[in-house]
Amino acid sequence: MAFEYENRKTESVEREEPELNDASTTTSDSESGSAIPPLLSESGDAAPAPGSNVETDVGLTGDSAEVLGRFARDCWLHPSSLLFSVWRAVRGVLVPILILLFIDHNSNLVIFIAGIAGLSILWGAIHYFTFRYRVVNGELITREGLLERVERNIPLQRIQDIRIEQGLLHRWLGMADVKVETAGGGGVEASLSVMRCADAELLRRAVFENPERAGVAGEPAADGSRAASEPTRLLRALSIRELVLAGITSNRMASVFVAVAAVGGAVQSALSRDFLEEHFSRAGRWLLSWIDSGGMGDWAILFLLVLAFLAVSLGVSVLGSIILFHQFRLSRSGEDLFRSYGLLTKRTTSLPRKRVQLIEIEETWLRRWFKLVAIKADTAGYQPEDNSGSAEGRDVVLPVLPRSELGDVLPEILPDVRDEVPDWRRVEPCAIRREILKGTAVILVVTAVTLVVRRDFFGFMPLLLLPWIAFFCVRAYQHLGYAVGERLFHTRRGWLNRSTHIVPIRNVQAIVLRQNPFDRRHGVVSLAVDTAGQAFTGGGPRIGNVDEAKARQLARELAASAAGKRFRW
Amino acid sequence: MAGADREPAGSGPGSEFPGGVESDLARGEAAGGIGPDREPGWQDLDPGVVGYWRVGQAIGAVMMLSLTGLGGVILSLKQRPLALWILAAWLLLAVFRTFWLIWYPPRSYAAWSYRLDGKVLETRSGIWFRVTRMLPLPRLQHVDIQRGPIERYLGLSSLTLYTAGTRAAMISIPGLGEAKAKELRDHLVAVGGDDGV
Repeated sequence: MAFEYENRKTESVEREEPELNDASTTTSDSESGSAIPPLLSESGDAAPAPGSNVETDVGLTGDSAEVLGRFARDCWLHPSSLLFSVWRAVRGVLVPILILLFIDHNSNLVIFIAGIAGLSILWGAIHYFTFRYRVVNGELITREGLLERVERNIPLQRIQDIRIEQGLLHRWLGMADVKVETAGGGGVEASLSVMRCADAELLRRAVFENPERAGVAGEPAADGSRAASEPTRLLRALSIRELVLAGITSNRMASVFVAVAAVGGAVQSALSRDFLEEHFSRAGRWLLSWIDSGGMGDWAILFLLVLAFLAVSLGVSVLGSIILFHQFRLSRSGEDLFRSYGLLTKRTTSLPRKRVQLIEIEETWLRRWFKLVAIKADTAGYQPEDNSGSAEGRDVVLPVLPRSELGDVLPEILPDVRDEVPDWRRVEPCAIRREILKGTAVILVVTAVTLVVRRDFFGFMPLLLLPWIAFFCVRAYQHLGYAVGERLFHTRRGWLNRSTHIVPIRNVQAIVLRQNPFDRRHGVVSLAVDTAGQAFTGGGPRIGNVDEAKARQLARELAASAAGKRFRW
Repeated sequence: MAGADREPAGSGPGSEFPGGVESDLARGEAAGGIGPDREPGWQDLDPGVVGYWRVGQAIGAVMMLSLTGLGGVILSLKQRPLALWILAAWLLLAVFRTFWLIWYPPRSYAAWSYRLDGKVLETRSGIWFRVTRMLPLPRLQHVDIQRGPIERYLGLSSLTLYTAGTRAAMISIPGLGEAKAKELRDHLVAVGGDDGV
């Protein structure tokens, strides 16, 4: 019953070479020019396509000094960034202009809007002519601005993420949009748009294969050459089938199903049995006669509408999942995880393991049915974009994964997971009573409302939910728990929608115990662990209804344990 | 009861206490924070903070009462029959604010305590909604000492501790004596903040 992930002591199987070579020969890769998988060995993986710089790809020996040499002098952005700014401007004003022309052929507003587009293009050109960047002395230095020159120094070691994005136009031209993020959490510190994708890859290698980079395993060789950093290893690639499953079982679909069921249930409970039978048989007859007569009964329409709504939601969800996460690949090189995904816009992002503050393993009821989980992470300084599938604000490490594989993948993200099996403890049983009380109060309020609306027997219908609430609370209590290990702190909750939070104790910033008057009556407190990077998430692990004395002792243990461990971004 | 054998830490207990918290017992209980026991090492704020809070409450009360009083006068000029009720309501408000001003700060003071235990700073506060915050000192990012004009006049300051967290990014200890605040800050900075970024 309890959720456990397998801890495997053996190393994961290395399975990168054949898979990536296979993948790289699929049509979308080779014709798109440069899907950037995390760089492997020098054997050419992607077939060269128009626009990519082949010589640099093949000639690399992996020596970061050489790599850095490419950027030693002041570099300009690629001239095609002018094209991109034109494209962006046009794309922005095209629809409004078309609409305006449709309405009024000689509208002066069109000229005005075109003027705005022109200004935007001019601005892009200015940016192109004034932006410089180079990598010198272990720092990325960017200079921009016409009237006000801004020079920014970013130490390579502080770079947490180099996001490489390629839209369709980028891929056709072999360009890439590079965004550099640091631990400061201010979002994107430097945005290089656009570079040749080969250069982008070089830059990424320069940052992530730097032997001075904190945490890269490997000593400098005796002859002083670059330390042998771990080759990039593919951890998991998601197939189309898995993405379709992810779309079918996504959170949105889960709520759609619930909404439809609720509506259906409400509709059903509002009607009497005879009424229902009569109308459904009528609906059946109407459906049959629809083809002849051309008219439709109300209920048939409703039914078809619901069906259509479901189908459309499903389609949108699946399509969205495929477009967003197409060819999702999670790899690891030393201390850095890399993810690449996307169909129309290809994205490659990196994630240093140390930056992960908190891991959430999420199983919605729909996903549990299919034995799937999702792995999300709170990362320090993460700025959520509205298009990376993390509507809740958590960075998605793996959008979907069969549960059986959790034991293989999780230790790659959090190595400590391998050694620690959580020793789950329950909270006080008064939690059940209190949750049932809360649920009952809500039901009573709802009943009052329905009684007002429906002054008859059916107004009492919500009360039928009470036994379900009790049952639900008991089950939820059984799945509520926490575990404190030597290096990890686990919490889990939820019966239908389960989630498990894992916090490495070194990431604990503060621990807060709260007690409201009701808690005091029961002698319990609620414990919350604060970590960095939760600004946009639902909040860190928090457990309610823990016995007071136990909670204080636990909190002190945690605090002492955290004090003994160094915290590094 | 824990209050009975509580060691008077720092400044004296209830006897020299402005506003008259009745007994050490009650105070010990209220100051238990979460849990009735009072282990050694817990320190209180400077008792002057009660006066500081009272001044703050007084200013707030004066402002609120004058605003509502003005509103009430205008309203009662428009609606004569209600004038008496409005006056009664305003008087009730005034009584309540005065009572609060007298009653709340000492209790809040009694509920506040902090403790330095090895490498962890623990603070307790809150009367009805009690909060305990624990900060592993190595996570301390930096420390602020803040002193508003009234605090300066009363010789108080408040310490704000910053962490890298999000919810508990700032932990404040109000109402410390000047010297004590500096001493505490120096100690915290010396012990804590080893973590590199």
